[in-house]
Amino acid sequence: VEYQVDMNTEQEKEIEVSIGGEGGMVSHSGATETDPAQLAAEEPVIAGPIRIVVDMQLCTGCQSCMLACSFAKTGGYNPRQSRIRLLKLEESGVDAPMVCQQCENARCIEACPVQAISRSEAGIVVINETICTGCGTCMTACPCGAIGAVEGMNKIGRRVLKCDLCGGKPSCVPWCETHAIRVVNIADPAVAESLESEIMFKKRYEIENDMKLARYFDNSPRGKALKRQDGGGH
Amino acid sequence: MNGYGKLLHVDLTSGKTWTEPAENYRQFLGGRGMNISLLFKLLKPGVDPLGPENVLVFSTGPVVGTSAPSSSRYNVSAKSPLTEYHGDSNSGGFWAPELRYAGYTGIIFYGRAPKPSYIYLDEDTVQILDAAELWGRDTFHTSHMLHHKYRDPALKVLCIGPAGENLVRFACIINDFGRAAGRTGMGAVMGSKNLKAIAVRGGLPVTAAHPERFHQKCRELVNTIRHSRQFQLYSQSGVQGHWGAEDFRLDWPALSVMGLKFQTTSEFPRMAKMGGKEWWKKHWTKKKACSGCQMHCSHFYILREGPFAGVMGEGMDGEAMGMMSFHIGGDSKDVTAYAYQLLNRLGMDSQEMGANLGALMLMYDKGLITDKMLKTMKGPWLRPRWGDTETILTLLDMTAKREGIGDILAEGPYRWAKDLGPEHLYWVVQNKKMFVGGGDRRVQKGGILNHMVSSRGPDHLRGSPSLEFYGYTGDAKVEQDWNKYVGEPELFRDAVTLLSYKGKPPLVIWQEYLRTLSDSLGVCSFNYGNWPNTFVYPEDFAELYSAMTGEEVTGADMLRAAERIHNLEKAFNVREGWTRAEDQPPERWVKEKKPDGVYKGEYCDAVKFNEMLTEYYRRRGWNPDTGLPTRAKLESLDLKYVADELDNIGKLGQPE
Repeated sequence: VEYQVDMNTEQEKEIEVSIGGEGGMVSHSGATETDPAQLAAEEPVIAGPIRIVVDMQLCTGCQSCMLACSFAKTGGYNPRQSRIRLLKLEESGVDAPMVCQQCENARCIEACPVQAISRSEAGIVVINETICTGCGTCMTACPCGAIGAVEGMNKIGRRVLKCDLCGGKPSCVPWCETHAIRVVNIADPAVAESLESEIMFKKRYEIENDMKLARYFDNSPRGKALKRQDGGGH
Repeated sequence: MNGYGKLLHVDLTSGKTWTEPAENYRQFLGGRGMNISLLFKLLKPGVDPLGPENVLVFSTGPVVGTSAPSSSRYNVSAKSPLTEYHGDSNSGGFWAPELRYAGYTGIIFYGRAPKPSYIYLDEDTVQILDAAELWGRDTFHTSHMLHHKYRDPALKVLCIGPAGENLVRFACIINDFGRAAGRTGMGAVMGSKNLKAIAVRGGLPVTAAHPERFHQKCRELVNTIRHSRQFQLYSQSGVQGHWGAEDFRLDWPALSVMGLKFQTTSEFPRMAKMGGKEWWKKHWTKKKACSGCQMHCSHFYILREGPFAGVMGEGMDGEAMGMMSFHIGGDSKDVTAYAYQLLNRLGMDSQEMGANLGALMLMYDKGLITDKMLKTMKGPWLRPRWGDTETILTLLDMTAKREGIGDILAEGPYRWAKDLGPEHLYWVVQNKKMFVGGGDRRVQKGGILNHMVSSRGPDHLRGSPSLEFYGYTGDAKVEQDWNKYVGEPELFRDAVTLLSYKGKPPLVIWQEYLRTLSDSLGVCSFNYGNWPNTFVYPEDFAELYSAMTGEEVTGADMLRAAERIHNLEKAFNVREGWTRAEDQPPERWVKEKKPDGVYKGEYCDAVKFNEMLTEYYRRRGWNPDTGLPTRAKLESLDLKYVADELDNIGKLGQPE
């Protein structure tokens, strides 16, 4: 187990904001502030093409998003039937929400052997469930682990689940208490810039937690499959 | 019926399993209520808690595993090896929802497995498997090994550590790396059944009878909780929030429970030195939460420097933290953080173990335990001075493994102090063989009443009034609620007065209702049962229940169900020999005055306490002198069979 985690100044600032404050516990401000206006609105109103971005430092691992997603999609509650997924490593305190980023060069589209995955006019990668055979090739191809498959624990691979942004108003986002998942408008230049500089995604996911995630993936079925695909180099 | 799955029966002796619909028990709602109805039916009075004739029941509630805030709880019950009365613990995390996804509402274990075993469950199979390679491992290691074995990091594991295996009387059950079902020794019962772990995964959805209505109600409750005082207090700095915060008014009632150095002082500055905020700034990494919970009262930390650098984990619960530090004279939060993780791994209750250490240190300080006595013990020679790090950490390990002096400590402070003599027993602040918990409640009169009448031994989670603990802020809504649900406006001023004995019985009863309902529906009483910190009412529970099950109920029905559960718990305990004498406060709270601090000189007046107790029994509909439940009360709650059984053994209360 890797114990040492270096914190950069940005994170330190976040901590300052979220547990410092005035009086320590009574006031809370900054990244985790609960804005009544936003609560009243319930659903984020953003015009234009949207994406869900993730900040795993803020994620508490509570699964509320997954429960809301499974309810919106199936009418019942079970995180295994959610389109947003969560990698939890309880002992080392890692909670990584994994949700489709609607990649520009979507590897899942390339990987699908029956061409069941395509891009819609709105730019969203969608799965045609009538064509899908549930083989799981897209799951191994996805770089963010955002595609899952479930229908009963002992019959894995019957149906592939992937986020379709609920037609523009994601059901999961209003349930996130800490704003670890947020909706952004990628047409907004400021957002596009921050995404391009890879602060939000690349740094959090790949640099800081590369070691932890790599170790996990090495031992997971998907990690093994990835290794085979890359010819052993991971 | 929506909201209820199957109840799984497992006979460990023969390896036979069978199921029945859990809705058979729906008049007890689920969770805590379902457990006590099963225990009352299945246990004969006087059984050996650690023998094969004891049963161990795990139950979740009808709304567990849904979007309802903090719907993540299960209750585990058996006859307690610590108190030898009703043993009951509640824990959160992710195990309980997973059990529901596998299609089960509860599991009940009979007998004793012939060899160490663990259970694997999913929606298709139930397997009793050999746990030879898991036996002896700590709880984290056990969970890891099962994750690897099933190649699924999302497998949810509940297990016991070495303490449970070695039948330490206050062993916990640990699920999801550090969520503990503590206090009453359920881990020891699990160990006595040779049951090491229960691994669950499930792919079935939990579906409400009225899905949209249910989801809407969940959303409403999220907003209630997000805007509550409870959220302000605990979401940012966790359950330990108010410890070590420098800028608090010292007369804040919550601080009156400080029982530093095993309740011999409440000198605050020494504790402030531990530094709450500074420590967390240095070591905090992120917030953590149980399934479906917006409160995130738990926090993850990694020690970055000092002798324990590299220790990491989730926590820390306020009472547990106190018992590993200032309540036993320590002032290092690093040691506390390490001890906290060690306790989780060993599967041992922090409060009872803290009481062991505290009592040992206090008696050593007073010369009641001498170096000569300690030298005769096997193992390293320890000198238990106040807050001594080496003593704390060594004894945790030795107790879980029952080595040397640990074998004695594993029986719990009441039992070893009693063996040493009445002079020693005096110093152990206990009631019904159980330590009263971290807090020194001498100041909080309602708190004392709750601790003494609590159905699982002295414990604040059964209904210690939050109104009293956190103080009355002058909110008019609180008074309105009081008038509506308690209905005696003239008692309100007394109820909100910290040092008043009057007005407390109805306050405790009202709080007990909310706690019982939360525990029975499978939601966290931290969020739902803490009126007036969160304004959640019986009507809210009723709406959740109705939308989930499709059976329309009202708030009054819910209160009646809560009362039914409470009466059954009382009847179970009465059948085991519980009388009014058991409800008396610890000797030290009556005889000793608080030596210093803001509430200097405060103590528990035995006469006034007994007036309060009589009043409580009367309001509960029990015989006010003996505290035994009456036939009229039990029959009005559809518990005729209970009244008959108590009548047979001559323990039915006479009407006033």
